[in-house]
Amino acid sequence: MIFSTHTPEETKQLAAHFASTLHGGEILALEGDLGSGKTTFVQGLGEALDTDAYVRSPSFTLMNIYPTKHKTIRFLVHLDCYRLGPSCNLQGLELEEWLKRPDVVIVVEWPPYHLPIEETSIRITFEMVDVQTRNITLPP
Amino acid sequence: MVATATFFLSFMRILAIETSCDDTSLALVSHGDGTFVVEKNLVSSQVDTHTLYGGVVPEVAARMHAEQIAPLLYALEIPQDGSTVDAIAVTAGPGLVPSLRVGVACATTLATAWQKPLIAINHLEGHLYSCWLANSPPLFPCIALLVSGGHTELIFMKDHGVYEYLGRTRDDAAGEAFDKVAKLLGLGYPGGPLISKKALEGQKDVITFPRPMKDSADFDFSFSGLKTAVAYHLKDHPDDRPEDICASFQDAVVDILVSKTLKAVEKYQPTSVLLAGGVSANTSLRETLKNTLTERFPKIHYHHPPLAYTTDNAAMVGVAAFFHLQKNKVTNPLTLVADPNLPLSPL
Repeated sequence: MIFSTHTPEETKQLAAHFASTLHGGEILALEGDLGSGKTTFVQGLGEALDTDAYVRSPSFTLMNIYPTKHKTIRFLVHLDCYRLGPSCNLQGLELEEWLKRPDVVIVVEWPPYHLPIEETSIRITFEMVDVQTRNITLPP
Repeated sequence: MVATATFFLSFMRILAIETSCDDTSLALVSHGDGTFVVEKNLVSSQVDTHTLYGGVVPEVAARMHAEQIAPLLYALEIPQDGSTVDAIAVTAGPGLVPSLRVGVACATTLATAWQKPLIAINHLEGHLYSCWLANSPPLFPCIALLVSGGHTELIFMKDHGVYEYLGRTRDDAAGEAFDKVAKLLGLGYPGGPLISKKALEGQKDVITFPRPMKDSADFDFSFSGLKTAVAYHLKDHPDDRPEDICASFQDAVVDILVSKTLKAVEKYQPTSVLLAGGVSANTSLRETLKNTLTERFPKIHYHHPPLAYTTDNAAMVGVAAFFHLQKNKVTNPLTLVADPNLPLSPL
């Protein structure tokens, strides 16, 4: 389903709404150009899952981990493969310890072609329509 | 327990190791008569390799650190028994774990084999101490603006090892904004030097980009909206000169960084202002901050590291380690592990 947002706040609200459907164990793959609202969406997820940490772009650090105070989700793991490129295999990031954990939500910006446990990942796409408007496609 | 007597040597030589990201760096830094001498600072950059891959690959980065660290150590010409070295310093975080581990393994091994004190250093602390490699040492208290690919932080430093975070970026780091705007313009990687070079031939007042959070009441930064504004401007004005876009974008970044730093200076009344990190190599930022300070606060000293020590290097790690040693803060080589989220903690 496609949602249009007109401010970063609206993007965060949409993310919060989406967060209420999460239980833990999900992998979210966020696709969209630079400036299309991906990190803003993750900020909304972080707020909704009740993390004290600032959600910042992990483009440089590659992976940020935010502890949350949600009732079933304990950690939001924020990956960004912008610098790694689409062919990367995520080896060496020690992602294994976070995968398949029922109390962890993993969100990946610039997801590579091959995500581990690809079949369970949820794809969310972002499109910049004009200077304010973003079209965000969530799974039905 | 190990070689405590060395802490009070009037002359001291530190072997420093930095492998937190793309560069493998080893340095020999000595201190005597109150001044630091960088005897050797070797940096083996992986930028070419990562440009080939279009980015940093953690596995590749770690493997390259492992390949380069032994030849660099050899090039320092330290006797095999380590007798000319008094202590060993290493960056323990933050950074990429596989990369950090190579440096930490090397440092803990040498410290154990040579029976020398080991000092674990925070990468950000290293950047702050790069300012002690300038001509005159900064005087406390200091306001430090630390800007790099991964960081944009305003830090109040009351004394050696006493840090108070005033503000930081809420989304993208300043260096990241440079990299991403360079990518939008098709300029390549790393973006900072490419943009500032193009900006020299551009007009900075042709386009007015937004200055997110410039006038906010706190000391935090935000660069994500600026990057988006450039992306959107490009979509709408595909024929604008890239030189003008670079100059206008750079002007916005510098304006935000300088305004926030000045605001912190007004509030905290420091004796010195420090500018450090990879983005501190940006000439426009250096000059604007310096000139604005001189104009508005002529009594405040301004320090930035020599150009060679703006990007990641081991010399700055050695300098920071000297001040740890002075406070007897050493690390147990048997328990030191690389920490990707290592906080900047007080001495």
